[in-house]
Amino acid sequence: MTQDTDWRYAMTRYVKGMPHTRATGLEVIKASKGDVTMRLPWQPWFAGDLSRGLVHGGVITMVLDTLCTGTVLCGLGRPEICPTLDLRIDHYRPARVGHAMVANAIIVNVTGSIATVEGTLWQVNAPEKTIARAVGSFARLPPEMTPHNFERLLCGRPTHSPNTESHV
Amino acid sequence: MSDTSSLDWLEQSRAINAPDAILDNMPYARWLGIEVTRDNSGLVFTLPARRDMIGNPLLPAIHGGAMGAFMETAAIIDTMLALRTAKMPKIANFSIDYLRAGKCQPTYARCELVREGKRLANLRVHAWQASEDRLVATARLHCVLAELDQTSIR
Repeated sequence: MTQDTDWRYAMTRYVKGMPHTRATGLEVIKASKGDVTMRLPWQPWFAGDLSRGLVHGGVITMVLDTLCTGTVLCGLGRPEICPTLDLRIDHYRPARVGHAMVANAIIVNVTGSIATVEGTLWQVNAPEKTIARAVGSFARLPPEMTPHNFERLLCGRPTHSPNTESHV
Repeated sequence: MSDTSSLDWLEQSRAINAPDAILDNMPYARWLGIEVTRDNSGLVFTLPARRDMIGNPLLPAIHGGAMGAFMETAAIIDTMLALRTAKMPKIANFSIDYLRAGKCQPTYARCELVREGKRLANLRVHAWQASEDRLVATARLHCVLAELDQTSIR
């Protein structure tokens, strides 16, 4: 991919192209190669415990899963279909109802067979307080498993550049 | 926001051994459309096939995050009903292994309370679609079990 690939545009296409994330209102704040930030505006149905005023842990899982997957998509030399192998989430403290959530993820390692991503989620009212951390592993498949038009589907425009990806 | 200052909903669900009152306190689980039935081996949770559960529109496949949220919800509800005494489980960590893409069809989950300690519990969850022999995902998690009188009510 070229240096000027508009990853924010591509990531926005990615979250808006999935019915599930479109329904939740997830949006992309920032995106560069292998480094993505997303924001989930508050919606009342994200509550998981009305009596204590807490956000459902599953909402956090959904955001971090989407974010980590997207970070892999824009973290390799060119976008590949990389199925999620596993995702681990550590919940540091509960999220409170009524506040948007923000999460950032970076791709931390890439081998010929696995890409590893780490993510952090917080709420806008207390950015210094981490709500949850995630680590995800993604499988790298043979090139023929990624459709020819995948890059164009994701990025929305044809890009022509040498494959600059380096394998660890 | 509920103005209840107690966890009556938890006691209610445990008293009738049914998750209705728990689900009423959990809007996101209601939004996902999670249903709970019981068979000889325990509770079976269902995530209905719905267009807005789709993550990958190319396959199409269920969104991995929705699958995770479903399995996490199943684990919480199962724990609330299965514990020897009423406690409030709070998920400390959750790890999901995706075994194959979930198609856009109903997904089922079953939970196993592997270890119930005084303060912590360990659970396994497995999810399948057409056949329970062909899992689409497995998960494990740890819950902190809070005593009800130590559970802060806002």
